[in-house]
Amino acid sequence: MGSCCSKKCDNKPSMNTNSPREIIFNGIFKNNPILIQVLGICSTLAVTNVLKNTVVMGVALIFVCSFSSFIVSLLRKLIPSRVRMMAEILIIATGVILVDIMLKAHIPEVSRELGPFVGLIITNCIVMGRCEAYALGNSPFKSMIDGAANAVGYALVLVVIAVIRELLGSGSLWGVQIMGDWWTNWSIMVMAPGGFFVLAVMLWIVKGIFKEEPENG
Amino acid sequence: MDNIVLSWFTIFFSAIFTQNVLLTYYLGMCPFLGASREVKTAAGLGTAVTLVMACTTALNWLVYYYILIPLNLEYLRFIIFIIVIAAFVQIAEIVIERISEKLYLALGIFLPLITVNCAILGVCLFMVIREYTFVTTCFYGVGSGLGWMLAILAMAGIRQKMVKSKVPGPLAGAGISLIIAGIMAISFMGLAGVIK
Amino acid sequence: MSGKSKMKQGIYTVIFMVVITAICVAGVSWLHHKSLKKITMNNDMFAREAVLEAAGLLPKNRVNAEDISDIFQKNVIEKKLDDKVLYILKNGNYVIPVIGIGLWGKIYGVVGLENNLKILTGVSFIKNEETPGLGARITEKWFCRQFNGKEGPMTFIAEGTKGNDREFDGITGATITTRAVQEMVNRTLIDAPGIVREVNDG
Repeated sequence: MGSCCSKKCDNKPSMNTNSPREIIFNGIFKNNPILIQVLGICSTLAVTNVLKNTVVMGVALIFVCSFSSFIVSLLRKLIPSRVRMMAEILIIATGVILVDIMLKAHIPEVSRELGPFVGLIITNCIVMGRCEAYALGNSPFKSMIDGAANAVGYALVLVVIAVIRELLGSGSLWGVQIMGDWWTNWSIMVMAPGGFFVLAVMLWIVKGIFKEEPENG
Repeated sequence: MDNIVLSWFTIFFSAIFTQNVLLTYYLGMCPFLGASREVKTAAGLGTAVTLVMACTTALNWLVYYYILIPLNLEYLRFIIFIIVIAAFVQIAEIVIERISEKLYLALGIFLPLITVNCAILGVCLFMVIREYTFVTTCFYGVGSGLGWMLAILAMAGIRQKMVKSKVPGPLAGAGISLIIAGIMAISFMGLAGVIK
Repeated sequence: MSGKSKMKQGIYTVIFMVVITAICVAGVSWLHHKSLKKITMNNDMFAREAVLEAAGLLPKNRVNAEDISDIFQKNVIEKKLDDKVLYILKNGNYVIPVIGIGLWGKIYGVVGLENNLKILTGVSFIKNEETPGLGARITEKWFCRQFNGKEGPMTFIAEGTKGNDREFDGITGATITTRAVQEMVNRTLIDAPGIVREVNDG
């Protein structure tokens, strides 16, 4: 549980010989960033109370993750080992800010909604985690796929959580009121503790269902 | 003069309790869930975070008000703050490694994790938005770090005690930590109105 | 590793970081300056839209930027004095910008007042960084409309509980943001006569 965030990552990852299809499968299911690696929790809590924001965040993260993994992989032979975290986060931050400026200039309404999340995307453990765990030791193309796959896995989990949270907490989905007047909003679902609980239950269910499978694999 | 000193301590205590970085603003969760299994590890990580928060908020204040603003470069604050944090952490790690092996094992190994900690960047950004003075920033930085440490120690303590409880298999580990975190967050909500 | 090659490694590290930092900073600065004009234009548009909403002049259906500029030109005069801005409407009402401190950052809003500076015509928000789903709900129409036609000072109450004319519904779970809005509105009511006098005469 919790790869990069719970121990010092001193070693560069070894070359991975998975095919692109295996990379995608791992990223989305077998090694799902939230459910298996338990990364990116900060943003998970913050964003999933409104479905629309979740989707926007998911799309943004797919771009950022694949782009950063790609660039870091391109530069992997040049980055000195001691400062690799610094270099990674610099590349990630630059990418995110460039996208933010582009949005502010050309699609301002979206940028206004995404504004508070810019910082969350930059420090999202998943982006950095994939750079550390994969991009540093593998080819740019594979790294890009790995980044994208992980981001898709992350986005899928987020959407499930968001559907639950927005439906129960605001009675709506994508801003459209679904629950009628008979429904009292579970306000706790809109606040962060609701996010904690929904994610915990989800982990419970997923781990309960898939607990036996890895042994057979 | 009295009012200023009072405001320092107000900010200090509110940073620990009523505006806790982790339980009120939900920043810095990744290491919180990953590294909080033992009180000893949590204490080490917490101290490292406090140290980094205190120093980098002060450093970033100086950088922001003496370099970025005079040169009209406020829009670069995300990148510059991150660089300052990462550079500080790197230098601190090297220094601690040289000074004391013991200190390094207790504290230094956590430092690389902290570069990614959204709490550190978040605290620096808050300091700018709320336009704190330099001294206020120092109190705020130390207070926020201690608040984060308080949360992670509490979590570690609870988890250590829970080793003996019968948590359902699939819920163990991340699942139950999240539930504990949720309950702790709710309890801290109760402190919201205590200090204005 | 020998001492000399360790030093070489160290120097390479420093040079690498400096170079990559320079590239990143340069990239961001370049894009920032290139987009500055467009971004300022967009921000102005948001501000104008908010002013019109606070003045009660914003059409119910969606309007594009040109329409907003149009309505704005026809109905509002903008007056500045140092950093104070005042919007004077053709019908004699005023709209005053106000900045408050929310949970995550500053809240930029505008408060519309009738000519007597006592009755609110409306409240609108230009920019905020509050929690989406919670504090950010202050931009929702129902919340802003609560202030129309009311006389200050306003106090917030729990969401959904009907109150008297000096009370407005807060947002559950967003106490700090709601409190900030209350402070912004009440502060504007107090400062309005002074601002109008200063900017008009200055």
